[in-house]
Amino acid sequence: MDRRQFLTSTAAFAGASLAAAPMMSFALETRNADDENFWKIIQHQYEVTDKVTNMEAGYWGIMSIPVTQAYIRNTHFINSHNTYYVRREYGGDYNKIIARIAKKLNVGEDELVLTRNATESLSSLISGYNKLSEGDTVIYADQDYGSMQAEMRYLKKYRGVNVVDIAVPEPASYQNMIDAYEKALNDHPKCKMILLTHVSNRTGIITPVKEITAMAKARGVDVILDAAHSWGQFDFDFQDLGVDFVGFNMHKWIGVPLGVGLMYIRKNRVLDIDPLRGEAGPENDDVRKRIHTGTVNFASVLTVPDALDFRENIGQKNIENRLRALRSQWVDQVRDNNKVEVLTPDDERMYAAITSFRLKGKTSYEDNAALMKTLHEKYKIFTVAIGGLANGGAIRVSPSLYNSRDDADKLAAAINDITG
Amino acid sequence: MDRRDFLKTTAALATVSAAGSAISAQAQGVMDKDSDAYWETIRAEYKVTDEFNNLNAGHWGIMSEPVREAFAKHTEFINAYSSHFMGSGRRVDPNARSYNVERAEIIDMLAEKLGVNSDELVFTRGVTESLQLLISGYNKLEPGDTVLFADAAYYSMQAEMRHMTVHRGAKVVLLDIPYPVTWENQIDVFEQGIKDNPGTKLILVTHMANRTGVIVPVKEIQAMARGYGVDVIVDAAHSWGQYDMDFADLNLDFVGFNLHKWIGAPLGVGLMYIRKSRMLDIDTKSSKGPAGNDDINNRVQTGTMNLAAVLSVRDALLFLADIGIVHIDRRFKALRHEWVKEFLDDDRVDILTPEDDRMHAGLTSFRIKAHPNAVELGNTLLRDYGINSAPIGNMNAIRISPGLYSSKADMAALAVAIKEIADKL
Repeated sequence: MDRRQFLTSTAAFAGASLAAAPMMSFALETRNADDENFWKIIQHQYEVTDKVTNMEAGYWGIMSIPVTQAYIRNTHFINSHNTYYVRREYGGDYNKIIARIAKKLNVGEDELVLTRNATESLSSLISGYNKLSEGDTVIYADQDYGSMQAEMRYLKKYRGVNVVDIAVPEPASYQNMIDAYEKALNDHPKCKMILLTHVSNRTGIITPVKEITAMAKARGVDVILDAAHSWGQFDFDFQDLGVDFVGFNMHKWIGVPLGVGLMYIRKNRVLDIDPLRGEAGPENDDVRKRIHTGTVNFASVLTVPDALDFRENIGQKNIENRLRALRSQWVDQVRDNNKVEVLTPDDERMYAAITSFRLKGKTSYEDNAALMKTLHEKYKIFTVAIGGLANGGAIRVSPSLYNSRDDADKLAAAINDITG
Repeated sequence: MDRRDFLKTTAALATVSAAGSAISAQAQGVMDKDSDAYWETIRAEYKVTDEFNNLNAGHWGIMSEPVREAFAKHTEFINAYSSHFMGSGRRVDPNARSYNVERAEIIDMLAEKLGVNSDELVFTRGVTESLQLLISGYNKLEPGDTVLFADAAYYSMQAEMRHMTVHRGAKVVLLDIPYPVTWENQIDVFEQGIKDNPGTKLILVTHMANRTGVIVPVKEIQAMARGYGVDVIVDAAHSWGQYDMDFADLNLDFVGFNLHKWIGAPLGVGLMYIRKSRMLDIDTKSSKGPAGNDDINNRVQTGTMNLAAVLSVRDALLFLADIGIVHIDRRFKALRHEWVKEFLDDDRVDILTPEDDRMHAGLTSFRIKAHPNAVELGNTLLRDYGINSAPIGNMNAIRISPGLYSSKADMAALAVAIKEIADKL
């Protein structure tokens, strides 16, 4: 029995626990990103708790029911067929998955490797980047992810470089972000590498990656891009960004099972990242040798195509428009509230689903943790308090495809209620 | 929807093996746990394909049905509750489930089983990650110091040790394990290695060799090394869960475990042990946490991992505990004996794992002396006899590892196959 036959024969068994998903084909024929009925059908593709209104999709993504069912079936298959499948066929199936992702990103199949998350991808890129000499400078910003900032700071010990952290201006604008990085590059002429975050996990701000990368490259400075939150949250032309080293998540906005990420290294730059020990010598230019996981959860990897199918059925542009609509639905209702600061600009180039706000003057992490608690306890809305920004903490709001416009209204009403 | 309601809606999933569990519950009470009849009830708890005879449990373990079903339920629960389950849900509802609380409970279970403290253990995504962190994080080396390991070590851990030349300026020495291997000569080879290399600071010891299944006297080697002031990192990828051992009695300092091999948890879960008093000798991962901190959690940085897999460790431990490690130990040895006994007096076949009862469990390798190519031999076993094994090319050997789902008939079929192949040569 091959994998396809197995999945067909066990579909009823493995999927028994979940209500059959509503007819997608109906939705697809009538799909219209402005049609609330279409999005209701999509919402029904998710089984979420009704204990809270979950607007914290930024941590990781909830799988749709079809993806969950596929994952359970794949787990069953792998468990039953064990190494017999993995040794003979997994490699081929893995290659097909890479080919499909490569096509979507418009890159070479030999430029991608699956990882266990963006953290692993970026740890390998940052610690493996071998073009640094003692006395060189590397730069990161306050909007970068905490453990990637730590990975950058570790380069001081590991490679003997100077590590500089800068603050992204607040309020941020497309131009002042470019200016901030330009100033940093001017101030630190020995800079060899910068960490950029495509969508900040703290604010949801979309960074002008293309412009900053072009500027850095013109000065001989490399860019490592943290794309943990971008791919899947909004539609962009990956090739157009011009980046060489990128870490992605697939379990956030692509909606695959937890524990799958992706790493991209431009083919002619592979040698600039050290192979992981146990994989190959320094002359090897196979991107897959830059990751060494040991045995992974094969079923999670095999579920990637199901998540891509689900998304393609809806359409990437429709997803982006829906997420932006949910964001604007609440932001529009608090924008005129002079007690509220929305940290994510309304510039269409700079936001997608995730947007952060704070109550004016409430800048400590504790203030925002208290606000998160109030939203949770009193209004049953689940968000997350964030710290680490130069100008203070905030509340991050991340709606997803299982949210309704009513959910966004509920949040706006809660904020306006809290501020009186 | 609370947890109970959620489970009700997913109950259909569990029905298939509910029957199996009931039989087992009855069996637990009345049956001789070392009898084949009892093991038939355990085999019934596994759903394995009948397309082949799977004797490669050493790569990773097959989950029993109760564990696989629990994993599916945990996956659905976590998927529905998402990050609400990560601790903050409990702020408003004291009865809400919390990942951090449940993870701590499971660490407590593991600590109790191993006879160590909970703050000496942390989850990883596999033994590879545990040992990468231990080896690359070990910070007691000065340039010019020596580190030792043996050829029985797992290849990627050998590479991790060799990287010490770049990372720490250490001298790296590879020792040859003698053949045939004995309990004493394994201790001797490491002691001689230390004597020959007076600058030795660290050795890597593999508790059970992944290529041969030979169990190494780690307790004795650790005690011997300690006498020389040499530290030991132990790769316990294959040992815990495969045979009855008293971990605390081994008196080790730095250990990497797998939970998805012989413990039977879902793929992607391992464990790392660092003795509390030795915590500062392993670097925090990328300078995580405040300087000088001795929190083992700061020695790992996984990012978000498969949380449902971690929760299923509890189910896997309960499944094994119902049987009892003493009986698992006997069962694996019995399954091994079932085929090995046929070749003890057959000089055409080498059994690479000694008969010494301290030195083997279920996993054992063999070689047909006249057969030149293990990969070809593995292909023949699979194609002509439906036996899935692990060829070890560089030793010209075949690794055989039965699981709890294997029967004595499966092992006898292997013996017949080996004999037939040897007869034709």
